[in-house]
Amino acid sequence: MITIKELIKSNNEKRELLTEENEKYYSNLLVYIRSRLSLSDRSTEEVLMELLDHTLEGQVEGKTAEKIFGEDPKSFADELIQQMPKESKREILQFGAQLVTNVLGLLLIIRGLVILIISQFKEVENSVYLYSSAALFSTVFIAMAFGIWLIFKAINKTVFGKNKKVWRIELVGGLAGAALAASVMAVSYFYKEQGPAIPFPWYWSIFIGLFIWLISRVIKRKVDAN
Amino acid sequence: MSIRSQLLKGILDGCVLAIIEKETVYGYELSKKLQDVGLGDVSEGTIYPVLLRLQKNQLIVGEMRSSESGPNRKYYRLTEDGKVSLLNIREEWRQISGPVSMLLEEEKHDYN
Repeated sequence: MITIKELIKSNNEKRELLTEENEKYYSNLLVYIRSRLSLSDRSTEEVLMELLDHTLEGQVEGKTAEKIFGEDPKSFADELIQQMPKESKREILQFGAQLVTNVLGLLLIIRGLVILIISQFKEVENSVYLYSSAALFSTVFIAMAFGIWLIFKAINKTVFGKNKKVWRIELVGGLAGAALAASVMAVSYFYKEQGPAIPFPWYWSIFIGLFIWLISRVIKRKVDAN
Repeated sequence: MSIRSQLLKGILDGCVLAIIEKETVYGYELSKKLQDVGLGDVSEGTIYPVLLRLQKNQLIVGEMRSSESGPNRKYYRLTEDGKVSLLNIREEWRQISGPVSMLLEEEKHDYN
């Protein structure tokens, strides 16, 4: 069976063949449907490929995408979305696990490198405080996940949006981003040195970080094979 | 949803199932065949929500096949449930189509 990755690649190549007018119409549909994160990836890419092939075949006969799919692309897309299967629990879990291990691995590697560099110049505190670190990581992770969700939501809202509303979404997005960054800083500032202290030198940090990051690569490979 | 659009939806479902019963088709082919029998007024794009709904209800299955020469196309075929459903739709249509068209034709005569 053809993989999702192959479908996306083929979609990118075929889109080049669209006329300017059709490309605009189709790309809006694509962005709108892809930004719905709750939908099954496979179903999303399969439908998008069908619509693209249909547009290309219609194009040969001189038909525009608007003629084929109607003058109201948003309602057309909503009709499709309503019938499309949701992402399975297993796939959501895989995606979440990949994100957690990826972020945690990179954070540990960066921590190790930073301590290594600073320790060349001065004495550095080697220990991590269990509760503080757990709280900080959770906050970073939740802020990132929420930020990603927010970005996709904003994209989804603005694809067919009227220009009047765009500045409001930008404002809300900016404020939300600032609030997320502030919450990370607040946790690291007000909740430090809590819980048992565990010595965690830079080389362990890099080693364990690399290991966890490798796990995230393995999960990603599994996801890509779908 | 209005009764009118529900009725149209049911009829379109039946037409799509009837075409897929004869042979496996992909989206563009299906819309061509609908046009060929004279259902050209149905906007081509409307078949895609229909195909998705029929898949969701497991009346048809679609399979993305990669071919060496042409593009990857999603071919649809009927499931066992789909065959049963089509039989039911055919039966209902048989019962309703005669009387309805008689009634509607009659009405036209009366008012003209």
